Amino acid sequence: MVQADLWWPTWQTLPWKRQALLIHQISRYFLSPLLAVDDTVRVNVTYFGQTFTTYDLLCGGEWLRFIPGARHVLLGAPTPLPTAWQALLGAATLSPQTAVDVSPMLVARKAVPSLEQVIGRIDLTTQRFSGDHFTYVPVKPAVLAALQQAGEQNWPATVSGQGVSLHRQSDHHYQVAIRQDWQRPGLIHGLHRYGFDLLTEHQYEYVMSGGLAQATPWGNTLPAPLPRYVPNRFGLTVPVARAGSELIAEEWGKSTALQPPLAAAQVAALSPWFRTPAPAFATSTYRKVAVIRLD
Amino acid sequence: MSNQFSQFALQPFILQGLTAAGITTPTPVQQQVIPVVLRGQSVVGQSQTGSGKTHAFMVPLLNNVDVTKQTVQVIITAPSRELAEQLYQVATQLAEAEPALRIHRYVGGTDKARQVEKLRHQQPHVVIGTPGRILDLIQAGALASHTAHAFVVDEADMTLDLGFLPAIDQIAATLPKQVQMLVFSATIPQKLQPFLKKYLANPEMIELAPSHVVPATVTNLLVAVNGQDKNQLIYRLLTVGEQFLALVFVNTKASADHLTTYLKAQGLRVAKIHGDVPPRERKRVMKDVMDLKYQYVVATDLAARGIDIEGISLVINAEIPRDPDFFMHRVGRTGRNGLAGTAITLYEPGQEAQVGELEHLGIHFIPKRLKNGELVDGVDRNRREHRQGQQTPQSLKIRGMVKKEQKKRKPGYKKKIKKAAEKEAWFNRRVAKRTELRASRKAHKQDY
Repeated sequence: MVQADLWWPTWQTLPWKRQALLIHQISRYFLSPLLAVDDTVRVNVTYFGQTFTTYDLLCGGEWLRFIPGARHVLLGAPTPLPTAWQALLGAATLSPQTAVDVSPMLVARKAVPSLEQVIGRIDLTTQRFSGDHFTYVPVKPAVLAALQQAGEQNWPATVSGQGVSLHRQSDHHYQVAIRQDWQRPGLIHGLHRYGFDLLTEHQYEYVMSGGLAQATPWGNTLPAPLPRYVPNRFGLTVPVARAGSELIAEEWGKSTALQPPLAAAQVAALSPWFRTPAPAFATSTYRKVAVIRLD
Repeated sequence: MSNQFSQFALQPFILQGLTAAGITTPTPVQQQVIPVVLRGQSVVGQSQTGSGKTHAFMVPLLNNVDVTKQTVQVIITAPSRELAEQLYQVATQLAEAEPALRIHRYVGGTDKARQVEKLRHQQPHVVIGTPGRILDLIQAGALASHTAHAFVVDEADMTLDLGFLPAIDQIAATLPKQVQMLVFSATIPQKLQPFLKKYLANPEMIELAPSHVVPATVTNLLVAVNGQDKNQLIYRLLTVGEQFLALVFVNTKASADHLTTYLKAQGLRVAKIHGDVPPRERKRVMKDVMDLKYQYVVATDLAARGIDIEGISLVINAEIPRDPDFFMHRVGRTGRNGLAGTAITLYEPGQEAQVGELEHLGIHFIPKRLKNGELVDGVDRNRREHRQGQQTPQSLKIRGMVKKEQKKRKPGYKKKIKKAAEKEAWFNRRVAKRTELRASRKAHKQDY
């Protein structure tokens, strides 16, 4: 595996066969052997007419997206704030601007509530589970009962059972999550068990902003009316409505709870550079990441 | 469909010839030249090769030939045999429907005696050839040039370069005073002026040069996208310096839309002009652009035709145009009136061939790349082809030794050569060091 191939902009210029081979290798060597990769999908993300090609891996019930690394990428808000950014970010607490190298990584497409741990997914028709079987076995009766209940309610988006939550993932699958009564160290320990980690602030900012030095992932202005989902250069699912901050490896959090319609002062929370000093753990969300380091 | 050349009231056989060749619409050059030549005026035409000018003078000249007279009426000279051959092909093709019209070619390297013999019996109506051979025939008393009413000098600058001008001069001297003279040339060099003044009384000066030639004041830069986000790259290029008015060209309406949305989201004031913008809106946008309400314009090729704005300082080709002609159109928007302009062309991997095509058209690109918000020198695309192997300079002594040892080819001869070279290098280094030390000591001494 040539290191430069996984970095922006070389990744974009590779032929698809080479990309597929690299993704196959990554899925073998950089994900925990305790979890099987159930599916690999090639994805094209179009962002303002520019197409970015990447791959999604289904691992332990969660879709992980491959994000190529970038060298010397500018993250954070410059001081003094550019005039074009003033209107949106003028009053907010922002991370200072630095230039860093961000490694390539596999990052969860969607943020998960901090009191839940996704363990796999279950097929509605066959009731077959794929994911972390060791964790599944003790909660299997609860999951099946919840699935029964979901069938009666005509397959709602979310069903809660005894200690488990089911989230509809596709027309045929529910994502299975265990409700954990844990604190931050417990969450990190749980992630480490499968070789995952929380995003660092730099990684979070890179993943959200796409490595573009602009006030929000959309640009220096926001579209009106505000869409339900903020477009992302890497095609990640970023809803505008948020239950709370997103946890990162540092003590502070990114973003904050938002409920549309947004007031003018709240819009700053959509910026990847926005910091929250002490996020409440219970309402926060988190994203798992597997960093690919070849050195 | 009727042939549009019929507007010039040409003879039927010419129209037939044109239709047979599939030429139905006159090019701008032909529109300009044909009426003037038909009137019998002299013309000095400045044109590039391949602008359709051959037909522009051949059509009216053949049209004016009177086939009932058995005399030479038109003489056409070209500096090379190949060019004369091309002219002859065009002429015979046009006159295919009129067998009575005699067109002969006289070029060097053919049987002169036979031509003289033939000319004794019959004179052609139209003479096409190289100046040397035509002059020979005239001087031999075979070709009766004094009856000609039209004389064409094609590629006059090349004729001058090849030293044919005295021959042309002598041919022209045998022609009647009121001859219609047509001179075509890519450039009008100073040395040609006396000739033009001598024979052309009141020539019609026609510039046939295509309007879309890239001005010399435009700097063409080439930036490789190489998998970077193209929108972001364009945004950065636009904001590198302070632009008076910058134009970004794209190939499709969709990409114009995308790019405009992106640049607007960055907080730039961007105008968008493409075929799907309604005419009224387009007019308004154009007016706003003229009033400098916008600093940036995103446009497609077709819409760009109407843009004639002063002071465009930067043109960015976000995509390489499908037709190289459009490139000239795009880049020609800047650098007008002798003002300096910059044109930046972005290319992606796999588009080297297209860039090569543009370079073939005579556009010189300077490779650049964007580094820390500044345009710095990039690497040459063809660096591998131009690469030369590393050569260590060898002294005469070593070179002689190599020659000798290679001939003898005794065991370990390569090592021997290497050792000798190293020893010599070591010695030279010592000498250089010593000289340097001496020089510094001397300089030090002079201080006191």
